[in-house]
Amino acid sequence: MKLNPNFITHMSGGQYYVVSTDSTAFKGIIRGNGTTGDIIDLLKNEVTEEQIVDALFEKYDAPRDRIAADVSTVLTKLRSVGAIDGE
Amino acid sequence: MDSFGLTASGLTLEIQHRYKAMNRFCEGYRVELPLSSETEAAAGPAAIRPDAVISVTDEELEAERRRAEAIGRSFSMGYYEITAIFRKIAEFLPRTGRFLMHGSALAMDGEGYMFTAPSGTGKSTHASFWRKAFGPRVVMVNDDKPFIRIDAESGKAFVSGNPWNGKHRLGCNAEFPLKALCVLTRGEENFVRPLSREDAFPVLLRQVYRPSDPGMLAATLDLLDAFERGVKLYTMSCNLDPDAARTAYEGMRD
Repeated sequence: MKLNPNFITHMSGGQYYVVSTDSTAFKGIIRGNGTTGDIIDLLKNEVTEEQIVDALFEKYDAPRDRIAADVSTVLTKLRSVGAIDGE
Repeated sequence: MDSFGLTASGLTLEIQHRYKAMNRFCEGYRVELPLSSETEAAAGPAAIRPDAVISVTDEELEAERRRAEAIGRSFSMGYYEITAIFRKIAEFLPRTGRFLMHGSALAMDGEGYMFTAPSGTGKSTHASFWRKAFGPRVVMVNDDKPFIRIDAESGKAFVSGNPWNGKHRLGCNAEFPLKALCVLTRGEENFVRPLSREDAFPVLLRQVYRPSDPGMLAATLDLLDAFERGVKLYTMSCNLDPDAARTAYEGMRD
């Protein structure tokens, strides 16, 4: 899976924003913290959910199952607005 | 197909159009261009050359018609052309360090002030209170969708008029340095407070035009960051008392 090219990321004031172009059905804005930003950065290239969990487990000192749950939550949100292409 | 030059925000655009309504709509913003190689040669160095040529396809006109139909509205083809051309201009602006923001902009003593909020909050009403309170010191720049230009060298923001200035056609073909932007909310009492860039960004993001091209959208967000650095940001709770204008000015002028 990968970030839909009609969704761009932007960092401002310490917050990550995922913003869609005018050509998408989603007209809102997604905001998130550092972890969300890490996930979105990884989605700029083709990646699996497992690979995202691996990368964050490497970076953060937190239980793997909690990281996996956070990743799942963020991916579900991004999928719900059409921001992710592929499985 | 006819053509004319349109000037706004320091840009000159060649507008190619099918319907006469476009000509009338842009009154006050039109300029003669050399439209053929013969006239350009005759005009010599004084010829105004456009920064871009703006035209719309049949498909783009049809897309405007479908957008209107989706909300139960129906307009003339001339109206759809006016809207489609504006959309094309808005898509082009980020290439030039400019973007479009929804709001009411005025200039007081030569300095720009802009008010933004969701539709129906009272931006235009608030701007009318400024005109009533301060008379000829106030000039309306654009009551609906002004252009914002970020100067690449100084980082300063400038607000300017364009023909798409709202149903009452309030605006002028001029540019002013933008001193402050205020996010309006309806409230019982009038009070102004500074707004942090962090709090302002998501609010302003909802009021800027989002291009359909990802690269231009990214450029727009960078310009919005620069805008926040170059302009004082405020939020104001305001009621429908005309004194709201004086409260706003007193709160933002320093």
